[in-house]
Amino acid sequence: MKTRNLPQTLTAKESFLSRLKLQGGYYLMILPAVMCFLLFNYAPMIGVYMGFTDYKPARGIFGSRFVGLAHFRQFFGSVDFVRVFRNTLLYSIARIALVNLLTGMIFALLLYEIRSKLANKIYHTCMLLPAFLAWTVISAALLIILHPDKGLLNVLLKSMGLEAVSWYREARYWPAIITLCQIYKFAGMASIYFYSALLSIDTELFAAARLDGANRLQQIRYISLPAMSRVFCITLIMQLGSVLTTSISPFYELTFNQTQLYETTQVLGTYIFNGLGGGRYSFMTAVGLVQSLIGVILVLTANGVVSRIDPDSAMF
Amino acid sequence: MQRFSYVFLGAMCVVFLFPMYAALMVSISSRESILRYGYQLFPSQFSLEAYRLLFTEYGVSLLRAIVLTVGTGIVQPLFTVFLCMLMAYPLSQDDFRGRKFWRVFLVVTMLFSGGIVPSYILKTRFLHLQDTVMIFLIPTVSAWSIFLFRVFYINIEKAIVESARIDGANRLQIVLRIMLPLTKPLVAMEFFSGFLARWNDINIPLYYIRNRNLYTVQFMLQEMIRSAERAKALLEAGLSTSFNAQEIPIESTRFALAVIGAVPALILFPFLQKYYAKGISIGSTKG
Repeated sequence: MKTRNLPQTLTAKESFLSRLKLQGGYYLMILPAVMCFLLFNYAPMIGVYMGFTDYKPARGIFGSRFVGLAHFRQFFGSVDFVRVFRNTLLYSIARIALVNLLTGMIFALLLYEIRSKLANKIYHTCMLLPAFLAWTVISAALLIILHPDKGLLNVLLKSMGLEAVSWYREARYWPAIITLCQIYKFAGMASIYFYSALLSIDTELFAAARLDGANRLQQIRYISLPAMSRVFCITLIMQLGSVLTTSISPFYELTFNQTQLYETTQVLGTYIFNGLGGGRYSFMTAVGLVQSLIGVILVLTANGVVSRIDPDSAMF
Repeated sequence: MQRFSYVFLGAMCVVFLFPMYAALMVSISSRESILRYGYQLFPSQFSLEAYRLLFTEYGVSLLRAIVLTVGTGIVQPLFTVFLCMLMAYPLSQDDFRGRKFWRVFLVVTMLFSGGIVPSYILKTRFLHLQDTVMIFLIPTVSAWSIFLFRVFYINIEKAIVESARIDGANRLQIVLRIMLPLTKPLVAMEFFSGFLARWNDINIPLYYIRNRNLYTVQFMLQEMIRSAERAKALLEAGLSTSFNAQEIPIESTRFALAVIGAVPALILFPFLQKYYAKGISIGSTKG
């Protein structure tokens, strides 16, 4: 017969030991993940110190000469700074405003109008698909459209008697091109968040509004939009943190990292990457630190503001 | 309003599917038709020479890249998800002291990071991971995933855990035998997301890989798309038989590789779509 160990009253020492075993077991479980975080998240935070020194690989991180804020001053005073900062900021604003908020909401609202479940599924699927494609694949498709000789756009222009445009040579087209690609990739995902907010609306409200004489647009304005406000705030806060830390993939890949397009396409991320190639480690560390710090400040500020207005919408 | 939605969204669908369609069409265009007419939405002359080239002459290099990418794409997410689950479990149990501390520990990683340069220095100068397979296998545990698991775990009835404890299961067994099956949707989603992230990622090869033998499929594609010259060099280097350089259908090959690069996304996509909807509705509650 199997005997079971039933909990008995323990002495102080025994209960202390068993508590230790309990906690110890838990700590053993979190150990691997914690080590990963320490190594790959917290250790680089200490490495930020490189931004304040004249890092020479031979001297190591802490052996290099301390230069204080020299790199920061150099960065803010440089010609690059204005261009890179401006581009990063503008693209991020465009991304947040157009991609996530505007198109996300519009798609969600439109999707909500669809009655047929089949159509809903089809539309949903098509909208989400681009999010899973790599930027490489998207840049390949873009090449098909924008190629100077063989591209669809130029062939179309020539057949209409117009001049072909050298898309990959002119910097001024790219803000629009990249932003459109961002919309293409992320609008579907963004709309899911808003759509699920819409799903939680009590349909009685719409019936009541119709009785009161509201047309569809008014119903949207007074019922649907407020329901999405919470998602709006959370999305905004989350996106603000990454305003300066744009992923380099779209900017590097869509433009094939061509220098003549840098005027409008170089962002902080690609700037740092190119600097890495040139070995400007400490300088680029300082730049990266600026990115992270501003991100933190923005997130906490936005969160603070939102939590004053509507505590449920805040993240922290 | 409803009719407008149908029409507009229908048009959007065409737009969204268009790039894939275009890439596919070009990849099966013959070399002559591309030379003469450029990229066409419906090729005047069909040819599968690009795929033949990729799978036979270039096959070894491509296969190497596929094996590498798929292999790391399976191992790394498994590892990552396992670590996430392990950390999420104690955080979800009331009798774990120091829950608050570790929660802050995780939130900090969400807010602030050291930046790419210190990470780069760490991985190259200290860990010497450049040009190795290990660089692909680093677990990418994220606070977000851990919190997501934690929410799921909290929602599991305590009674189940209690009865397992009484039956003598240790904590690891609890996680694996009870939590894992009960959170299968989330585990699947995290795993497939992780695989796709590995497959689509070009950052790691971009920063850390110079050795052609360690190129991932997407990175190979990226090199090919970047410039025709690079594409030619890459192809010529990898061809197993001597191929007349003039004859290589560079254009269609680049896009054939793009189609190959999109395949896992297209396959995994239906699965992920299901779980994403579920995960998002959970994730939008404050964790």
